[in-house]
This record gives sequence, C-alpha cells and structure tokens, in this order.
Amino acid sequence: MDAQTIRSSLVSGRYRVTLHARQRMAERMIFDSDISHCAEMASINNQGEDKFKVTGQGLDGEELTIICAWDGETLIITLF
Amino acid sequence: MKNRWKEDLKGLVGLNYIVFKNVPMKKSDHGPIIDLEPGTLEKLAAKAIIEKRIGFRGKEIKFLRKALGLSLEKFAGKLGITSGAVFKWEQKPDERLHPMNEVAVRSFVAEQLGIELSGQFSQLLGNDTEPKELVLQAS
Repeated sequence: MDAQTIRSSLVSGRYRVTLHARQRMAERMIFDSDISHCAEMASINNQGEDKFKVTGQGLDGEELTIICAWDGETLIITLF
Repeated sequence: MKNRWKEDLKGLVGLNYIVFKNVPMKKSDHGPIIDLEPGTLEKLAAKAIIEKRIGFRGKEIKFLRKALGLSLEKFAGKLGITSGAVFKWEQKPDERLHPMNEVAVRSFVAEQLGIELSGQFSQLLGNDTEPKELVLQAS
C-alpha cells in the first residue's frame, strides 16, 4: 500500500477507526472532520509493515498525528 | 449480520452524557474496530442534542461545529458573528450560552441537519439541566 492511497481514503471518509483510537479522539475533541482536513495536507510516512504515520493539522490548526494501518481498508489505530 | 458491542460506550464523541448502545464492531489484529462509516456517531449525537433540546454550553458548540465539519471562521460566518466570539464560547465548556445565541445556533444546526423545529422561541431554547445520560442506538 502507498501513502497516496492512505491520504485519499482518509480525505474521502473511506476508513475505519479502532475503539481505542475513537476514545483518544473523544478525549481531544477530535472528530472525523478533523481527520479528513488533516489528511489533505498531511505528511505521510510509511513505517513499514503497511503502517503509516500521518502528521498534520485538524480543523482548528491543532497538531495531529494519526497512526494508520492497511488491513484490506485504511484503519486508524491510534491518534495523538 | 454485524456483531454489536455488548457494553454501553460512553463519551465517544467527547460529551460524557452521550451513551451509545449496540455499536457495530468487528475484530482485528489491532483490537476492536467500530464498523460504521466515519461521521455516523457524530451525526446521531448532533441530531439528538438538537431534538432533545439539550442546553448549549461551550462543549456542545465545539462538538456541533466539528460534527458539521466547519472551522471556527466558517461556523461564525454562518451565524454572522466573529470567530473570536465562537472561540470564547468554546473556551468555557460548561458555561451556558446566552439564550439569543443558543436559539440562533440551534436553528442553524437544525437546518444543516435537516431537522424541522417549531419557530417558537421557547421551543428553540434548550433545557436548563444537562442530562445524566442521553442513550442512543448506534444501529
């Protein structure tokens, strides 16, 4: 899998979120609109083994790091 | 047939009184995955907040704005106020909005979500107390 596919799936809302990631999102009041906004301009680094680190900004300019995996679909594993 | 999470899930949208039941979940090597389209839980919670006439505090404003996918500037622009005013509301998560502002925001958000509300001022104003729980069925 490549970074462009991960970006495209995050921007267009074609992804799933682990329960753990969703709980981290809630703690920071980060929502799906922040994910898609972040992914548009984010730096995406392939970490190997189909894992990607997505670094960018949410809707309000807050710094976001999203850890994704490719598991037949884009999956957000955690976020900080 | 999707698997449903047996436990109630509280606070998944950043508001502790929102409780989701029957959240579709699937297993993975990375732990349980919420098997819903992105934005589904936000939309469910936003609709409930409007329809159940939950009073608006800073935390509800931030949640509703982001559920609509709007930046501070765009949200404020739709209401005809400054982004600084919205920012100030959101900086006080437990402070209730002025009734006039609350009515304006409720009308705007309802329109965005396709919810019809009575035009009466009293019907557009939220309840005085925050609910202990607002239980929503996720599926």
